Amino acid sequence: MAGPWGSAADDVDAQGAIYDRRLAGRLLFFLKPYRKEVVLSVILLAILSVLEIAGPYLTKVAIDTYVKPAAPGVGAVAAQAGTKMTWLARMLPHDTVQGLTFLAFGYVIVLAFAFGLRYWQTYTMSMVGQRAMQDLRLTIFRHLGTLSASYYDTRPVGRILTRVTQDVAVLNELFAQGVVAVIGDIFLLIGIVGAMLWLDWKLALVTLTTVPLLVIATAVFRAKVRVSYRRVRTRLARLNGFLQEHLQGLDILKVFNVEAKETRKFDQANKDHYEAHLENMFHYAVFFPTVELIGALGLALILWYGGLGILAGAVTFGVVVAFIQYVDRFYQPVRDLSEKYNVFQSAMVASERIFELLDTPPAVPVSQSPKAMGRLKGEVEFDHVWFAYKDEEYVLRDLSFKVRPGEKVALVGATGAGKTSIASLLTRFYEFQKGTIRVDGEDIRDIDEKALRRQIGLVLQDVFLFSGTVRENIAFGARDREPAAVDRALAEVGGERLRARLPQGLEEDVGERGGYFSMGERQILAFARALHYDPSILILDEATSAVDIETERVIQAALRRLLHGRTSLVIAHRLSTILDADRILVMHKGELREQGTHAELLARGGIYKRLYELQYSKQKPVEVGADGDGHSMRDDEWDAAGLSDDTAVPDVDGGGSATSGSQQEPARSRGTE
Amino acid sequence: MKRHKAALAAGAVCVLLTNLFQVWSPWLVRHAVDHLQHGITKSAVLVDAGLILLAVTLQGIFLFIMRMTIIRASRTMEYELRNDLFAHVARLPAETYRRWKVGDLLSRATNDLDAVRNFLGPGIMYFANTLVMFVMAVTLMLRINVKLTIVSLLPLPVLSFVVARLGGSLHRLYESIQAQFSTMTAKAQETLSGIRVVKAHVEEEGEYEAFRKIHEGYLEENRKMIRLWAMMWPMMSLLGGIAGAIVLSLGGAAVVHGTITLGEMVAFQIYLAMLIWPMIALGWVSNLFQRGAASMTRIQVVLDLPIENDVEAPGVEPVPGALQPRAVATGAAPAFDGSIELRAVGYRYPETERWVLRGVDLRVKPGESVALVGRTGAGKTTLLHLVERLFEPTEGVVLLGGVPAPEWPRRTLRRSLGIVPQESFLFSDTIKANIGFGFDDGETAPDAEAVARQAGLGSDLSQFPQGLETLIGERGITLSGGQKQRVALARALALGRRALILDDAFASVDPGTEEQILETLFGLPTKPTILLATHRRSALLRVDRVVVLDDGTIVASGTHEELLRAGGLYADLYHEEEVVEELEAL
Repeated sequence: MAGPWGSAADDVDAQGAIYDRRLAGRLLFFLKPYRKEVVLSVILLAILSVLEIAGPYLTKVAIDTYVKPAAPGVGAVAAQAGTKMTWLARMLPHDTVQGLTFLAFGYVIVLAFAFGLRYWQTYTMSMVGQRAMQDLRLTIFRHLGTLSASYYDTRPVGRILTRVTQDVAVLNELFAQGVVAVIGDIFLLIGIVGAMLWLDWKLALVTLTTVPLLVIATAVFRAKVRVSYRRVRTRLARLNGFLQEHLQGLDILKVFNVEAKETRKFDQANKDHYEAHLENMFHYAVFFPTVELIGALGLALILWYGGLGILAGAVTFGVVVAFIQYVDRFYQPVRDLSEKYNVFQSAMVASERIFELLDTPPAVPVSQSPKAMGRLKGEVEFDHVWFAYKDEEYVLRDLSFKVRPGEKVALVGATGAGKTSIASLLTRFYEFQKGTIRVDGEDIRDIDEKALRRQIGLVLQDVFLFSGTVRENIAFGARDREPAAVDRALAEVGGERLRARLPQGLEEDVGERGGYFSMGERQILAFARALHYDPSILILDEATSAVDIETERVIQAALRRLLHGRTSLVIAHRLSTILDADRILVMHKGELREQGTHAELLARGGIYKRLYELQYSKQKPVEVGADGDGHSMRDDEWDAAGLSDDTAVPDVDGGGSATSGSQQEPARSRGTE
Repeated sequence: MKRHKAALAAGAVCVLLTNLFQVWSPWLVRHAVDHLQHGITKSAVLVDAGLILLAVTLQGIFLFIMRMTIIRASRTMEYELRNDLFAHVARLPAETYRRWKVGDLLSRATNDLDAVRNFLGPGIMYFANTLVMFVMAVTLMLRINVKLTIVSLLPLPVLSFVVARLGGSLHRLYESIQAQFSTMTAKAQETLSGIRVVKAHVEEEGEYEAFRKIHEGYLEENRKMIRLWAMMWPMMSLLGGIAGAIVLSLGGAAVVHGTITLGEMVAFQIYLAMLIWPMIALGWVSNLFQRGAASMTRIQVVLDLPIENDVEAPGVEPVPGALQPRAVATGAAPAFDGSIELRAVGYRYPETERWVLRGVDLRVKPGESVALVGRTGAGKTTLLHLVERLFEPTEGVVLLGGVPAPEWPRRTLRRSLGIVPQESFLFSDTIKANIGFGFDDGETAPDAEAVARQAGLGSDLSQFPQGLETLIGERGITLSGGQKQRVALARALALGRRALILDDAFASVDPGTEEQILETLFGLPTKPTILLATHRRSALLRVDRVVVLDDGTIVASGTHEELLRAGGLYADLYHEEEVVEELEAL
């Protein structure tokens, strides 16, 4: 389970950079549909950087024109002529109060403009980020639908889920604030430097001598923090790993009486983490005052060199004041730019994981020219089939059998005999290694996968109910059928009692409290779903858990109704089912060892006889009634805690608390502790 | 919190000092500008510039100390709280922690702890900083010009108000986005968990559509959030800018009229800029406070759970608020002879009605071997947990070595029992460390290799890349089910205890190896008492006595032959096992 603290993948930073270009290219592909918005955003940023530098300039004009004319005795507006006569200066009123008000008003208008444009730009890019994120999520989701069952066998659901949720959320930051924000910061820097050079290039050059210092300080800081931050993450992962493992293994801790020892070990891991943080914190504590100091150095330089200029009459007061304000605005974009490295880095790690998923091919090969099929007759043939989930560990060995259309076949065998694998192969969940499987004489590898599955009904032991109404669950897989078909299907499998129990009938939400279904009811729902799906071949893995006699009777009747007129392969757990079957196939260790009717097989005294003794002999067909055997209806599945009751909603296995990444600290916060 | 009073006090002093120097530098700028206006010497200009550098250097030094003290204190508190939490959870009775989900406990030790730390560190630091800065800057601004201060500060309450209002809406939206995100996650999880059903019903597109619809909803919530968010920052610079414009026009006029100097106006502008951030931070900090308080409550709930107070270990002080006092055996602990006795024992889970065990009487002599047999859910594991004292009996008493179990110090007791649980849970460490798991630092563990051999791991060891030092788990190799069980057995054997308790411990071990292990176990020179839950024939044929459990009660007891002759449940179960093993062999 990959939690919010990341996992081993956090350690790949170092190699991540290698794939940067290729990954970045693929990521940009998701921005392609939003080219217009991106271009608009860049244009807005360019305008914004101009507006951003207007404020200090207006201050300069105000001071030089009205507050403190450059040289005593010279007329207010005329003083400007000596330096640079701008269009602005020409339209300024002569009266001081009027002029100042005019400038202040102009400044407010600039601010209002900046407000509007900034809003527009932020909104546009944030929505691009959201949309790109949605596109990416939907792409992943769709791709997940094409992956084979073996993909899901080898990965915990929680981890796949992390790809869909957290990893994509990380990319949001890249889409919304990555590339475009970098361009914006660069615009702003160019604008400020340009304005300073234009106002007074000598003073500008003197002031800008602090920039290399700032760049060096930032680079050193980044390098230090990168190392210490990686250490923090590694240690945090270790700490949380330890914590999780020990919370799971508390029983062992108890019975071996090592609470104290393990608490000390935890303390060590905790301390390591703490120290890594202190180191990280130290860098921040040094960096922020350093930046302030460099800023002050810039300020001191302006006052000194500008002051000398003023005394010499070469520089105006307004320029000095404007410079003081420009220097102040200079550091934000520089700091922002250096922060972007982290955004890119984590985006690369996340996208690598995402693309690894997207690059996983569907393991079951798709036929080049799949055949569409009409309604199947329902003939099934396994022809010398060999199958292994991995390598050479065959779970089906040279399996051959043929099922006639409409025949009811019961599959019996001990756990691991290969019964479930037969079902999985027929539904194309896995590719088999050798042999051929035919349906109506056609190789199933040549049939369109989906067309095949539309003809095969699959009822699993654990009935999976999806969130939504009961009706939606029954209609699952055939939603376009008329609504009345759902009602009919439920009625035909004897679901009246179940229906009557639901306050809102079929519109009852299965996920909500109260929408609780017993194991028996879930089976009835599954049968109704299968009947509604109306397949020509039915594969059924009978549930093992026992139910009360009344429910058992309903289930058996429903089963007969469901199997009627269909080819069926039933992994049988009920005596009544094997007695009803036309033929019994006895699987043992991946091989078909015996087949025939119940009486024939029993007479043979082989594997079937033993299986029968183990699994079926104590059951009595319910019509006969329990005859006081003592064990006939006992429930073996009840576990120690009496927790066999199952709620309708699958337990959410913790993927960690998921955050959308929308909550942000104020960007101007003085650090990221 | 109390433990860090000194650090926090030092931090507070630094807050004062750093802000003092921070507001000093604009004051210096003011003088510098005024000096320039009146025409001074070149060296005086240099002095002014130098003073500013000095002020900022001093400010920087105290800023550094402030961060180092306050943030360090918050990290230290986080560290201590996390340690307390772990130590507490490790001492909870099994019945308590089993009622919690691992994920829930984990999130309290991670997310909630983070929230608390954010409140204690950055939260307090920014709050103090904001307060001090505000008071100092406004005082100085008032000194320059009262009217100008009042007028220029007018937009700031609006700013605070906007931040507070927007902050409130943002928070609500954030919650609803989180809810949408959970819905989306739940849908994805559902589809992924039921992927076979989805594929079998060719509903990939249907699920995709359902997911897309939910995601559209999520996007719309985000859009609302972005609308507000995109407004917030520009709004702040707008309001701050308006304040600046007021200073420019009114202040400028004041300078012309000679009411204030140009330097004072410049300083005024700088103070104003300094105030904008604190006004914004105020809203953010209040959010940190709320979340921190809520999280602390969640952590406190865990810390308030009563713990076992008699977990004896060197260096661990008894924790106040522990479980009701027990008659802990004092003085020299009596030697445990390996006898186990249950008298009229009944057990049901806390707050449940169903008896898992009822009226169980069982006596196992020192050195005797007893097998517990019964169907799934008959109560075998629960019975063993009672002996292990993971659970306390609801009624009746468990005696160990003739002494009621509660009178044994847990430590002495648990160190006398070698336990192999049903699920062989191992830790991500070396095989050697796992085998020596029951040994505290400083205690000498027996030869891990010899123990591993006893547990049937001999031939496996040579296959592991680093032998006993091989790491297992996420960072190391993955053991097979059988190997895990054998390491778990070695872990129990390592201490050479008086009694071994094995809960279906060989289910994943192949029959040949199992035979070997049993040979070793029953031939141990120390002759420990062996109590094992099993259904395997190889074990049943070896034990001195078999006890049959059904539905929480003992239904039969005797030697294997006696019970087999008597028929009934044992004969049935044994016969089933025979058939299973026959099938295996076919």
